[in-house]
Amino acid sequence: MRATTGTPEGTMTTTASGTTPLLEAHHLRKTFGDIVAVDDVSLSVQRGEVVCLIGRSGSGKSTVLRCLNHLDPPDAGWVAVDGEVIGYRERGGALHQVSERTLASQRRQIGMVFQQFNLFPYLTATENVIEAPVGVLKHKRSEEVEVAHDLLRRVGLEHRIDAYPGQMSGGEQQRVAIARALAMKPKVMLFDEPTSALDPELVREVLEVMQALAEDGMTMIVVTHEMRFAREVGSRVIYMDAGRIVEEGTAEVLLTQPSQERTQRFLSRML
Amino acid sequence: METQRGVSGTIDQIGGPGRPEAGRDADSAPRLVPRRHYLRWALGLIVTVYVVAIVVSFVTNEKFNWVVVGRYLFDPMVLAGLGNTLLLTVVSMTAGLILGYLVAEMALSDSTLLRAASVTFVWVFRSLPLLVLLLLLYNVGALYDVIPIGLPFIPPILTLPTSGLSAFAVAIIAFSLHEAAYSSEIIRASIQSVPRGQLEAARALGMTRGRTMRRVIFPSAIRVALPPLMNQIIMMLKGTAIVAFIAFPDLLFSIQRIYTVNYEVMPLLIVASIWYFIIVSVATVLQRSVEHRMARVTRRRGAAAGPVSVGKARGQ
Repeated sequence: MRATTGTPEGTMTTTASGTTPLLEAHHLRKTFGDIVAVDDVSLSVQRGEVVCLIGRSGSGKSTVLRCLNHLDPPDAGWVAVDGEVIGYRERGGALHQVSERTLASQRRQIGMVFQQFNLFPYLTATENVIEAPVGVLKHKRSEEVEVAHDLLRRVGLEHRIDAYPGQMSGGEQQRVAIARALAMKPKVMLFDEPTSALDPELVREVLEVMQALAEDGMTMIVVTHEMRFAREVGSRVIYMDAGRIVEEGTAEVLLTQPSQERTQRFLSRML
Repeated sequence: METQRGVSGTIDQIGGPGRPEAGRDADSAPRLVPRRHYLRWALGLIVTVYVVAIVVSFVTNEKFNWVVVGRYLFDPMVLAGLGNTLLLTVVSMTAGLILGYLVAEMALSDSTLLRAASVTFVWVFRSLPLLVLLLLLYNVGALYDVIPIGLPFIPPILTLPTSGLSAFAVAIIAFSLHEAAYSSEIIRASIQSVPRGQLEAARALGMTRGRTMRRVIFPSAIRVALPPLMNQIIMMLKGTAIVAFIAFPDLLFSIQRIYTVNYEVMPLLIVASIWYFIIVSVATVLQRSVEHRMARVTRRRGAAAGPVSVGKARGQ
């Protein structure tokens, strides 16, 4: 068991001694006008961990995720993946913001799956998956088509390789979106409420794909309302409220014996 | 129960006397009689009669002088004017669209100065009537003797004497600026119509700005922008007729040159109208076919992929 339980608000948690974490976030802060969406959030995720962020709507968990790959650049704090600081370059003891182009290349190691799938509507499932590897990494198209078909088979969509997003169900679209993110061979995958926009009967097919991915050893950070998924797949669960981390611990401990009153109240409503 | 028996009785009666064998057959349904639209038919007939009357008057009214129309339809001077009109439209539309795209990008920029410049540009060139802009530029020599090409406040690389500006050059500059102001708004709106999520997905995948523009924004935006841009092209095509004011030999000016000599005013204006009709019709057909093709990209492959994939899924 790597994770610690019941850490007080906002403090850095070291989850393992000795090894460097795959993803680190240091004292992130993000405001939108007067609203403080993320307030002094620090994270440390080890290779192969599945960290679930839970909390009420508006608690800042999605914003934390979007800060990690700089879709919403944090106002303060920084994120490092595999030792490389995202969005900045260290020079003379200071972090200098990098160009949009460099940031784009840094983002390639972070995959992201969105609540609304966000597939490219005028490209087929296969074309959606190969778009970034061919267009950005300049890989050979024929090879990437093979890879894409392989990925689509892994998410159970071998029969939908030529379908357009508009012809697929939400669950199928979300699985294509997962395959599209995986095609870039990311070191870590971010999931932003991947099942929230799905009809109830389609939720399972997406969660099953995510579970298989976790079992293959993918490092994942998942914002979710699916408590069962958090308990069964999550190696660690973080409860957030009002932009801060209230409590974190192993899925089993946090979900069954939370130490903070706010966590208890939230969980009693969810279960 | 009472009513139900009543209804079934009525149905039996309908089927009964008319088609006795069908009435007794349990599977047969009563005949469905569509509603008759008498008013629609009457109005259609009235409109048709009027249209026919108008067409007949065109043919029978000798003052139309169709022989003269026929004689001048392919007159070399008319055709040269037509060519000039098309050239003017194509060149200024191309320049206008390129400039309009730049102005739209400025409007969407994070820089306040660039945004302000863009807003000002659109404001100025949408405020000026095209004819006024054309005349202003035609007479710009009254304000500037030369146009310096180069960076401001240092000696220019090249200077163009304003007296050397041809009517064609003036027309292209005026139409391009006018077109850029209008099309920049269409382009800006079409770019903004692309759902934010798609841009975020592209960014999250590490796609660069240029590639996102080409592969994600453009395919969506063009579908939104095409109908209004086509409107603009058609309006510009006909709008070029005002270059007659600065004596550029476009279609209308060529026609005018002919009828000031032979006084066949109406037949020659009809010649011009026929050519405008033809060009606009061709443009409309082109637009329809492009729109149809864009819609088909998703429709056709979908129809092919759908049943096949279902079959495969069942097979497993």
